[in-house]
Amino acid sequence: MIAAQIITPRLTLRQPQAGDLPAYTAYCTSNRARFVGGPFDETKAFEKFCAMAGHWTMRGYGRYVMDLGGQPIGHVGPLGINDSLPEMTWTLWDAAAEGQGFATEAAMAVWDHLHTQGWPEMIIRILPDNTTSIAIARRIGAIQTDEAAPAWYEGALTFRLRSEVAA
Amino acid sequence: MILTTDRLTLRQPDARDVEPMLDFFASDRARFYFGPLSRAEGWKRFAIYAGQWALRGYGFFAVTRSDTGQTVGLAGPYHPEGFAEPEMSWLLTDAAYEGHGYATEACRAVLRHLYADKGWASVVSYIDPENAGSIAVATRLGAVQDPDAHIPLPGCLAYRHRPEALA
Repeated sequence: MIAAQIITPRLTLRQPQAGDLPAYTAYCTSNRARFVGGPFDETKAFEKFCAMAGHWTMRGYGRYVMDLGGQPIGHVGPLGINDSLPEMTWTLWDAAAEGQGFATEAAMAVWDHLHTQGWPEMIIRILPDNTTSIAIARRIGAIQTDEAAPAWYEGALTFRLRSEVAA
Repeated sequence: MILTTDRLTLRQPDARDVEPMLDFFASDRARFYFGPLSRAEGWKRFAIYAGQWALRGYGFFAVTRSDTGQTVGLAGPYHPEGFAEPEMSWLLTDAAYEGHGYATEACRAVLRHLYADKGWASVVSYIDPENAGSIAVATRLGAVQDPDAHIPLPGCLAYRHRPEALA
């Protein structure tokens, strides 16, 4: 059973809710979304946030919103669109939240939870110029592989998280 | 939230509906619903539908046969960003479910719920003029064309449902 909420030293990781939409939309329509196919317009941002919530409904797991004292600052967690290995993802919605280790803290907590729930492995895809995220991937114990990028994420580097190296 | 009719149980979408909905989105039946779509795109589209509940507090119900549990379609208010008002929408996942009155029966239950429990005064449906099946359902439900409605879907007709006209 995947937890609907995970508490870390500084963050509450919880399911997406309506009150998060303004902060998420601000992120989605900004240049910060350039690593994931954006920026997007408000209509697309609304759809993407709906899909983040709907993922939980359909899979029983999904991405958590990082809640810092009531403020949503990003999202983190597994994305499982198709039948292949779920992908670990994280994003801080505003530059002001960067540089404090929030993404690392959140991703580590989610991965800790998932592998104690029997998930042996996850994949991570990151564009090569997203050096901040590459550093986080390494920090949480992910190992880069030489696997080719999928068609929908051309040029992306592939990393894998395996439970034996996450301990 | 669960609605029941003589033959149908309407509940929030979940994992049981994924395969029938991916089959639906992959088929020509999805031509009035952004499709046909690949499995991955259909998955995202259904996630958007399912996740709208979290953002709006209302959304599509999965329409299931009470005797078998089979998913036969969706019915409920669809309300993406950019729509001035929620749209009463419905679909049957397979041609085999047509001609039984399932869509009309499901929509009648949803409309009654929207009027009685949520206090909505009227609801619009945007229907492609070539979608004769849906026009017939709308007409059976007592909806009439609304020349004043804002139509966010180019080429569609607006039908207005009102409680006093619900047959």
